[in-house]
Amino acid sequence: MKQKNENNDLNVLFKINKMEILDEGFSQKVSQKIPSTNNSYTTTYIIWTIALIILVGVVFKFFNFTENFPLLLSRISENFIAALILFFKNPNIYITTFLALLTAGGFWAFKKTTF
Amino acid sequence: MNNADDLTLIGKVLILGDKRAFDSLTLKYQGFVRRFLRNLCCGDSMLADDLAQETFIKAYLNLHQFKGIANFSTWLTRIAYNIFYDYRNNKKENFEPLEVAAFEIYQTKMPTENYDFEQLLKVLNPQERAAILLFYMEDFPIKKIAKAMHISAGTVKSLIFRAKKKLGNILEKEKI
Repeated sequence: MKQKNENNDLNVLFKINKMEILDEGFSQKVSQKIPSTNNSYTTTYIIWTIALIILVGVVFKFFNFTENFPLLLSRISENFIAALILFFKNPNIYITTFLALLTAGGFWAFKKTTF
Repeated sequence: MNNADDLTLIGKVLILGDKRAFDSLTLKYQGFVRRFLRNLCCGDSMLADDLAQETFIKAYLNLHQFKGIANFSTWLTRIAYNIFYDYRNNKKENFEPLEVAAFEIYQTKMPTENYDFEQLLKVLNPQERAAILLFYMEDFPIKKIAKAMHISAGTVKSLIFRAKKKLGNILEKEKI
């Protein structure tokens, strides 16, 4: 009985001293002190598109779509802008398909990783 | 917000580096972490807030180590407790428990309402203080306390028992 009363007393004691602490700029202070990381939406998009470039390259290579594709792939991998220039200078079905796949895949991956 | 919401926010921070998601977690848990540390530090709110800031920064930097097996609150409590423990190890003199006999009660009419709660907590050693605070104030079950403090459930029970005995003695004396 004594122990039960003691328990009740402690329960009351701790509950009445349970204060609610308002934020009062605390979260903001923490946010300011958190170091920025390289992660961002753009980084995720770039990682996914690079992965897709490799995947599309492998598929193209496997089905032997074009003899010149490895050269094209290396150019694209080195510089995505070079691929776009190539496309606008000399549009063909392979580059068009590649860019379409890249865009669709990148968009899909982006949507998938965005909650 | 439940545990699933916490996991969604953690996923956003980890995959997308979304700092705003971590701000939401900070906002949600700041009250609990700051209160826990404030009581552990026996009312030193400046120190508690510094330690709480350190807790959230450490949580952010180590978020990839959070496996999602335990609740985020348990994981956060563990970080807070470790930070407090490290601090206390460097500044031992500030956290030595008072002898029960040396404890002075300021008001006696309604014991549970008028105790100087922070002074009362000083009779407990930091481990007992943490265990009893999590048990009575934060309503953590024994298993969760054991995980947060990285000790066995049996040890948690004995810490709570010892803390209850010390506090019980004081409450009993004041009632007579």
